[in-house]
Amino acid sequence: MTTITNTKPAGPVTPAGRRDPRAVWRRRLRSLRGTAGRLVIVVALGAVLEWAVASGRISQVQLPRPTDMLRALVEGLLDGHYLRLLGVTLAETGVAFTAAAVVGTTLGYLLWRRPILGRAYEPALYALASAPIVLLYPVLLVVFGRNPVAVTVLGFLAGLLPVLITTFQAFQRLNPTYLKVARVMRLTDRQAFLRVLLPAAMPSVVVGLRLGLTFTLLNVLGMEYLAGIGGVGSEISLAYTRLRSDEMYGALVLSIALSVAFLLLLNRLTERVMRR
Amino acid sequence: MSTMTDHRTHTTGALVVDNVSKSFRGDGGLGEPVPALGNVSLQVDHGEFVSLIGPSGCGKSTLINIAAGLVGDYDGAVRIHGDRVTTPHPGIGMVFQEESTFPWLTTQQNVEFGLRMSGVSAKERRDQARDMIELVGLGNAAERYPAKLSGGMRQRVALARALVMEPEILLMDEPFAALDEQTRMVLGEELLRIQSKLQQTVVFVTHNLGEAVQLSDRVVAMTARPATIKAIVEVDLPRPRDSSIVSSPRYGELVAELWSLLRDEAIAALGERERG
Repeated sequence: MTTITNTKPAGPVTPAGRRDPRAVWRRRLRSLRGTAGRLVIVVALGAVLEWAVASGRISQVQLPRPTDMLRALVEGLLDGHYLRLLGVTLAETGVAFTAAAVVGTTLGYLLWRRPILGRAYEPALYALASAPIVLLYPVLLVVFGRNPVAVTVLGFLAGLLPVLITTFQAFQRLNPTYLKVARVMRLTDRQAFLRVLLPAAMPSVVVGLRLGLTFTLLNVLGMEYLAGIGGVGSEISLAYTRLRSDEMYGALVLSIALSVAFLLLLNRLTERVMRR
Repeated sequence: MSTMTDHRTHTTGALVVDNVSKSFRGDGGLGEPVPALGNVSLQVDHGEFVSLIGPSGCGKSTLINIAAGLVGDYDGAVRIHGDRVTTPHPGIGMVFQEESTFPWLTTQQNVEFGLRMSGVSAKERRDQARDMIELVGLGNAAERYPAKLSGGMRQRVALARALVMEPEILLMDEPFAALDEQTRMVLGEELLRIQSKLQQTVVFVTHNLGEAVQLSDRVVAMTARPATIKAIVEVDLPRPRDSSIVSSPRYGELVAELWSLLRDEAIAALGERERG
């Protein structure tokens, strides 16, 4: 007996291997709907808060109206004050993260390449990674002074460990057969590293970079707040001490927007690396 | 009745294995040496297809890894063109059992990889890779990434990647072991077709007796650890062959003969493993 089944090519790929434009549009529409859904939730929550504050159920001292927060945010942005703060925070985060990424991936690779170093330092690294690095801030203030350099160094230290550890693990988990392929093909060390090891480890390394950037940003904002220096974080602390809750929440919204922007950027980056 | 030949050693031939022994030390190099290979001698002629079979864990893969230049420290000599092999020889191509296609490259890029690393021009390597991809039957999957291919298709990519370098000797270490029986039969047939077209010298490790008979000119039956050559069985089935050969009486006789050679060894190997 023969059964004949209907075999349709599955998914958005046509037999010729090209992407079906209709399927692409359908996917875009789906993602747009998701974004709209999230916006609706935020707006709805805002509306509930607005009503709760306006009707006196929540004290204005504890929480200003969401419309007041937005006004403070827009004013801050328009007079350039917030942009200046954003610039400082972005510069600190950017320098700290770039340094953490470069140093972290290099050290992670070296720890794997020299197993004796890996065995010696691995436990210490895990211990450090779970330590509250942000509490180093008084030390950094003493060493570097009350300036953005101290903030940048803390951001670097915080981002370094996750990048280093994930890079180390990424190389440890490499498929050993790839290394054999590289050897049988008689690749030079440089070719093997650039063309096989690095691309093979990349998806996991990117996960580490995502973590690293998040940690760096958190610690930069945290230290700015604690020490009252630098950008957005210090503004939150200033508004807090002045009891200007609309400004404080405005700056908080600003820092959340910053995190979300970074998150979207990272998602794009990850997608590009993981597309395969 | 097939002929069982002595364990000849000649100085000519594509690959000469001369009295090769190898021991491994357990416990991180501190334990007693455990012999894996004991005084193996064998010659593989140009254009010949030779299979190594033996109980699992007997040292077949050790022998093929020595031939590939992946294990440099051994006694005796594996010679290609009279040179003792201690590092990968340029005339060697290898296909592994494990996943070895690079997931960050398309089929086309995977097959081009070795050519690219050895500095072949873009146009030339594109054409050569294209031909090889057609030869292994992946013409319509050239632009796909390995994640979008089945296990059998990925092994075809690995085969094309090795063959495109025009190796004098192709080493295949249980290349079809991870595939289902039907895919294995189809790929075996493909390999027969490709080998008769290219007149490729092949050393093929397998634990599948039928596969060894279907593909080989000679089958080398090895003993349990430490592996020595128990017998070499000439496969006198006519060429060209395809998978229909499995229904011929001679095929059945040869498989039975190999099993009678291996039965005691398989039991011995099993007993050794159960004793731990």
